[in-house]
Amino acid sequence: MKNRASIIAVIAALVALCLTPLGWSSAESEAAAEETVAISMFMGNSGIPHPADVDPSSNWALDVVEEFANVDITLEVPNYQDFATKINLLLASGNLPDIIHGWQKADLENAADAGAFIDHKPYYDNSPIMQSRVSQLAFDLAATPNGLHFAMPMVMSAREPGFGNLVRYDLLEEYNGGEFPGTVDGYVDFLRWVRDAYEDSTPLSSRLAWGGRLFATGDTLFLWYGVPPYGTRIQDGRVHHNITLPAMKEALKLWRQVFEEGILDPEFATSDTAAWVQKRAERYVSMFSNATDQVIPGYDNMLNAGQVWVYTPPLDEYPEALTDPRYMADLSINYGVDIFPISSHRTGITSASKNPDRAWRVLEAFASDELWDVISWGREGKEYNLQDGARMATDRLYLRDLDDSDSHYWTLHLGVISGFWPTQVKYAVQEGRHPMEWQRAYDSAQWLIEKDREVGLSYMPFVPTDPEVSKKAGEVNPFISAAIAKAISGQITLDQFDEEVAKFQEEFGFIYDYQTRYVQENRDDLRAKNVRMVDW
Amino acid sequence: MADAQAPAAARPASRRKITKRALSLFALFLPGAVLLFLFNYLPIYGIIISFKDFTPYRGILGSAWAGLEHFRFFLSDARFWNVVKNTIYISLLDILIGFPAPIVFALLANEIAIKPFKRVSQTVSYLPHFVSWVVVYGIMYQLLSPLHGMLNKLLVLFGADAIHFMGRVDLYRPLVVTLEIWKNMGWGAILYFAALTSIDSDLYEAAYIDGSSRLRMVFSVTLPGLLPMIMLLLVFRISRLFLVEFERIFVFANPLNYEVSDVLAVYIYRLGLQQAQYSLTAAIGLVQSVIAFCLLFAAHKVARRLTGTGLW
Repeated sequence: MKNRASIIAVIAALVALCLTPLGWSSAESEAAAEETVAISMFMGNSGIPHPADVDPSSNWALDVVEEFANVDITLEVPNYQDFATKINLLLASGNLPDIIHGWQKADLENAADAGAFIDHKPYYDNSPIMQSRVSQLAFDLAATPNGLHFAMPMVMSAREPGFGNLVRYDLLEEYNGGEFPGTVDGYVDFLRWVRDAYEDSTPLSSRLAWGGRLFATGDTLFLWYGVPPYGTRIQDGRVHHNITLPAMKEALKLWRQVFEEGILDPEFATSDTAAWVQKRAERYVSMFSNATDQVIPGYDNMLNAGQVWVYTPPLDEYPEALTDPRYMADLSINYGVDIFPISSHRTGITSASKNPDRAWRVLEAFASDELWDVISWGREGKEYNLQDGARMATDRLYLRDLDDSDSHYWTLHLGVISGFWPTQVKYAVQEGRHPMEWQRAYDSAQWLIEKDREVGLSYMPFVPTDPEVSKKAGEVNPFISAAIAKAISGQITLDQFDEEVAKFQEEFGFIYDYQTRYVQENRDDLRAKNVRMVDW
Repeated sequence: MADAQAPAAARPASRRKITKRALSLFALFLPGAVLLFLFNYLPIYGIIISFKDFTPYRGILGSAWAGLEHFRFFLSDARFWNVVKNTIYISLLDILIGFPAPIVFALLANEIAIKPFKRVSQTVSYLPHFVSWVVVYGIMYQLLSPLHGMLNKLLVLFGADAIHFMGRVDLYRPLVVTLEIWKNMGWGAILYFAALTSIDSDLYEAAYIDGSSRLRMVFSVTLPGLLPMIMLLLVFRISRLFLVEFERIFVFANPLNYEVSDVLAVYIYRLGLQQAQYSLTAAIGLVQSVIAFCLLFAAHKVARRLTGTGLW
């Protein structure tokens, strides 16, 4: 009996011994043989299109994502100009792919509240990869006002703040040896000189761009008056739209003057982006405004166009209408002040996905170090070479050539979670390519970066959407564009502009009353989140 | 008896013949009727969303009821009435100036005696119809730009000031109405050309013998011959008083002319697609359709009374 028991024990032990490695290898082989899954994804290119011959669904950069998640991604990437329409049509259809990426936060949140996306919290809580890229704060900030974690945000931790006016320094050198004017009038004199010195020049120009906005990256004179036309400010505890402030009228007086003098492009209200870019290249546009991290990290694009741009330093004397220099921030865009931890971009798994687990792996791939490396440095032997263990960028890194199917720059748009800002790598590359020019531009931007860090975050990204506000929100920008365009071109007098402002207050005032209420009711919470302007 | 029975025997045969013919006609009619039902009547069910807070993820039935809230919103929105005014204004200009243009063109082309020239001019006149409004805008920009437009260069050459055609609010409506005529006059004349061929040539001969001039013949023979077609198209056009083509208006719209270029189609685009207010825009669409139906009916009645011609 004892022998029999021993034999059984030995057999059991042998079986166990055999099964243990068998079990391990079975699990491994399962993983190794894990089936490649088809995943569909809709995403925007964020204005950085694929080169002509690159298949969005099959290319060397997307291979990194596909290999990471063991998936075969079919990517739909509409033109940047068509994106807003396409994504709204897609959301309206209810016929959704596995993953959607977009930057219309409010539309995506509305769709999420209606059940378009799954809850990402259980996935996030168990994903070290995602947690290392997207902090808990960033993750929570991306939830809908109802608290649904419907998507992953794009993080902006590698981004620098700063927004201001740039001037054509090569022309300024020609004008007065490169001495920056100390007043707005001094800059107008410079622009007047450009107009006279160069035939067919339009020293100031503008374009009608996203959301029906005029002066997109052409705020210039408005900034010095502290009234970017689509922005708001908090003053005496209340939210005011800039169009309603006395400083706006003062700014418009100057804009009308430069229009009448032929300094401002007569087509300032009718040019689209393509026309504006062409004018900047060919018609001696001598000032524009933009975020520092849009200009400095890719500075050679400007130099390659034969133009030397630098940020204007603080003025010695600001217009009287500017009661406080901290108002020189465009709160209608999130890089007008210190960088909000996340952008408006969201990437989420839809409730239509048949394979949400694998779709999550795709999101992890977009957040992975592997993809971030591709975005930042490209490929060894092409975009960089190793020298003594250090990476040395070649000319192909950040190569922005739509005719070159092997270019690198477009891969930035894959940073839907990690962001588009490998800032330090870009700085190093720019410094290596044009040391003197880049350093001058970099130095010129520093005061703007510091100023906007001091200002802190804008209150706007924290304000939840409201159904009544949503119905009227799309009408605000066209109204403002029409009012300021008519005032500048002389179609209406400045007294008639006051009537337009009164109409604005009547029609849209409730939006800013709503924002004021939110700010007042959440002041302590907002202050704790670095929204210092709640005390303005 | 035999005589009396003969008609009775013939009746069933005749009935069978009629039924067979009716069946074959019905078979021809059926696919069209099914398609009409599927694509024109069945979607009417979607009207419900104008009374709901529709979201595609909850579906039409699953979305919450909103009652008449969406109708209340746009009917009390001052902007809505402004876009209605703009829509009717441009639509009326299209009817008053644009509608007669293909008729006049057809009449003039009909008078051309040299047949090859007539054919070529007709064909050339159709071509602009196939050019998209975006391309038309591009052409106009190259022609009318105050900075480099060919027309403005000519004006400056002759000592005049450049005109910002696309930035002048007073020139917006003339521009879009004129371009609509240029683009669609030839295409719109096709039906009139077809109608012209059906006018009995004996009438022209009789008028000629009676000593009528060419102009007299146009008024006494040609136009009366075209009248049924003119009335039919006019009734249809009037029913679309609240509908102005989106692309034409949108591509030429800019902040300097918003006050006249903001029409219903653009308003619906902003609300529906840009702000995702599907129920609200469905409510506006429903009102538009009801008004269009009323206008169609009224125009038909008026046309019937004035000319004896209508839709039915």
